[in-house]
Amino acid sequence: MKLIWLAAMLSFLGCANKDVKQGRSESDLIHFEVKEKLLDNGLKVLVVENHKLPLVSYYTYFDVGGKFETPGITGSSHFLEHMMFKGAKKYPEGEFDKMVEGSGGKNNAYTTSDMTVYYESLPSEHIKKIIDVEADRMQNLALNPKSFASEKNVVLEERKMRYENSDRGKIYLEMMTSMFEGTPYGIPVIGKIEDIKNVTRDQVFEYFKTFYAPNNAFIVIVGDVDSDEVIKEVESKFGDIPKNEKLKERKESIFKQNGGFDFKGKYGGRHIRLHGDTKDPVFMLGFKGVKVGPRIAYTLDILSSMLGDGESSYLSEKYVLARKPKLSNVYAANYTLLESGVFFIGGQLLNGVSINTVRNDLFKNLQRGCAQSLNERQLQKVKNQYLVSYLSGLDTNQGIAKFIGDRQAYYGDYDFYKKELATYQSINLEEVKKACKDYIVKDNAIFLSIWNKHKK
Amino acid sequence: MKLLITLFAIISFGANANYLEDNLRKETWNGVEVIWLEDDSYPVYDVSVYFHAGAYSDAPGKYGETQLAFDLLSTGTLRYKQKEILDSLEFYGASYQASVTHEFSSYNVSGLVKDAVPTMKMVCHMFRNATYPRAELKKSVKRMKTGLRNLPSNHSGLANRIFRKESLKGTGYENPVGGTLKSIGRISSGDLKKKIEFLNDDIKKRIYIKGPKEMKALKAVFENDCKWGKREAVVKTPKATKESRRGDDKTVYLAVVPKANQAQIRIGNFMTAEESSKNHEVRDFTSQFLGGGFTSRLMQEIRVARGLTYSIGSYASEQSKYGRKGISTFTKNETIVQTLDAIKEVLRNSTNKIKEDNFQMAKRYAKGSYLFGLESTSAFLSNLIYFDHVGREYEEIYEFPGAVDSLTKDQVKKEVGKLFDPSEQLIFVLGSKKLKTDLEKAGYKVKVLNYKKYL
Repeated sequence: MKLIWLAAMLSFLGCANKDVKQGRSESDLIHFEVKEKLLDNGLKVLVVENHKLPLVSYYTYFDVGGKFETPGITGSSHFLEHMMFKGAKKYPEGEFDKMVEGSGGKNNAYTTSDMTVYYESLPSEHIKKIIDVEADRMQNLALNPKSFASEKNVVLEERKMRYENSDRGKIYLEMMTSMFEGTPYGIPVIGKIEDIKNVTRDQVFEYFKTFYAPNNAFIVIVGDVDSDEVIKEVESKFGDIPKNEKLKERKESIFKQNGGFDFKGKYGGRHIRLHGDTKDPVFMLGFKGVKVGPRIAYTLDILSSMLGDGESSYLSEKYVLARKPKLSNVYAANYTLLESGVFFIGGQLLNGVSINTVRNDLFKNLQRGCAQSLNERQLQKVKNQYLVSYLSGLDTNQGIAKFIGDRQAYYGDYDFYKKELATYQSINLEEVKKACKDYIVKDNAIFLSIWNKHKK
Repeated sequence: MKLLITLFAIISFGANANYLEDNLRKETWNGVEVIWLEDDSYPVYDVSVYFHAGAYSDAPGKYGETQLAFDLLSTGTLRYKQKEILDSLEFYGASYQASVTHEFSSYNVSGLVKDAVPTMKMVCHMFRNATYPRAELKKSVKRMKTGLRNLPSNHSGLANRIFRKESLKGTGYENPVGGTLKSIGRISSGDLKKKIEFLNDDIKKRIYIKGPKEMKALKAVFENDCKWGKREAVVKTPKATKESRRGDDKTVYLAVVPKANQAQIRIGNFMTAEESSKNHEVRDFTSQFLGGGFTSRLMQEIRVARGLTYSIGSYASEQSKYGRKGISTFTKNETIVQTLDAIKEVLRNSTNKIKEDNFQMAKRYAKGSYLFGLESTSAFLSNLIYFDHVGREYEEIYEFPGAVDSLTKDQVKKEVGKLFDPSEQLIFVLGSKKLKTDLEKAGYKVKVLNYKKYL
């Protein structure tokens, strides 16, 4: 599960054991002492004490994202993410940022199709305050009408910046929409322009009341805190917030309304041409993927890295570094979501290379490449690279909090990284080749390109 | 890691800053200074080699030469082909890349401690034996040209590139580190070989390491494989002086790009060598106060109060002979004049009556963000490289919180006037043709720039 890397690339918009040494198995290299508590209202709290520095990172994961939005309110999860910084009952507009930045901290948030995540890092002496602020906005969000109106302009400008004015953003958005056509994942996280303009305060408030419930969230706290004390504090501030008893039924009904998660698009290798600004075509080739969790998801992760991670990967050698190169860059990724997934390859053509030649060549050669060119050394290389990536992100509280939080969100188990690493290590070359044969097929694919010479 | 503990302890408890010696080791390996931050948290390492030569040393008309000499090290050596080099380095999961500025460069390698020796042996081999095969150079240049040809589809990136060139014109630092469409085509394999020899044999270096005791094994690798010895040569770079400075609050430099539905705005200028060399704390704080976070004056006024943009920020940063300061944002076409006016209003009025609570909050934010920026040890290492280059003492890191605490409103007001006086800034806008009419209607003199000349 390449959540770490994929989150960085695709998302829209304790303490490390001091005695880790070389020569131990990979899963022993990382260890966290996590204190866990499930409150009566369904809110889960995970705490890791890390007393290296007088700092703390605080993450809140809400199980709400673009896939829960119905026609007319697309973009509401993301819009709500913006409005969560615009004041609540006890801490009115501006107080949140003043509190975090005024204590020397930093904060931000992001929204994906699956979830919305808020995070703060600040000196640990302010932990009680941040718990109070977070509890206030979970139950008493203001949604001030004036801010609501002005924030729509901000989101529309963000949409232009990320997608309308970016060829890479535009083609990614179209890839997700077409691959997941007729399913909840086909809904653009940023929202449709008309929905952003027209959504009302009442609609967003109703969305908030439905999804910002304690039984739809969990909190991760990592840093210089006493875990028992901090859990007690969370309990005192969040404990009385009522759970949403109808959450499960509501989610099921939305998924049904949005078409369920089975693939329904038109595939067969069709070519979607988008008009853009780029002088040399940029392409994406999407294949039906799988959801996060099963062994095949890990195998496809490894396949994507063998095909497209690094200059010595199969695709780079074949199309970028070859004697007669066709592409200026290429990459591959396996994007596993909670209910489905997409495997994709992307890149940009060199001047003078025909887009149809590249498309045909990819369809023709991917299968052959998997069968003939993937080898044991490449597989071991990918496993080594994964280990370095795991370890490199863990020298900050924020890195640890996200590491634990992502595993809790995707697997329902913060401790899952041990199994995750063991699974990657156990995958053999034959499995990878079989995954390529089964999943990297034209019948399951859509090819997209964007170019200034394509018709508008 | 204890180094950072101390850092935060100082802020929280006002402790003394004498702990550096316990954590930071200074050694000399074959005459080359080594700065080693001992850290055994995880079995991973970072190594950075500093070269006191950067893009300013590129031959006239061959801009991008230094960057290319580093980037193409892996394209082939006397013994290994590109495929073998890449396969070897990537097999270890190692990361390797150069960072080039006009004044200095660094080559940065990271990976698992257990593989540090074979990885660095290969890196040293590349430095000593790179051949820059013509065929590989040709392919690399073609790829780079593709990137530049397509830059106009990235309006923000294009705006940064044009603004940099225009605002640094006449200082000697205006040419892009990565070169231009024309300049990279002029660079030959022989040029790159000479450049890497120059970097190997003539130029002063320092080695920075983050990692556990086992990293000591690299001493032999640096001595026997890299064979870098004591060198004192540095590439002298010019001092930026006020004579080259352009810009006023009545003129807008406009680059017109097709189909732009947003206007990119850059406002700022370069700092002279003299301006860059002093008052670091007040300058750092002032740029944070204006546009460093969500509670900054620009963010509060331009995004929060008026909804004119999604993001706005300001910066002030310096090397040893020049610096840059500026404001960066974007807005929809229809609000270009409104946004420029609003920014100027903030620059002129934000320091007239600074509220005490805002001022104290900004101080805490500046201290916090400075230190969070050093939380990861690799970021801390980069900071040490920079401090050594500009000749600042490491102790200044520890002194920053105290220095910020002692700043007065009057100092900040003066600094805003000095740094961001609207009448001394170069205003640059990138966007649609229609912006010219709107800006002229509002009384601006508009100088239209052809973006193609900046690629």
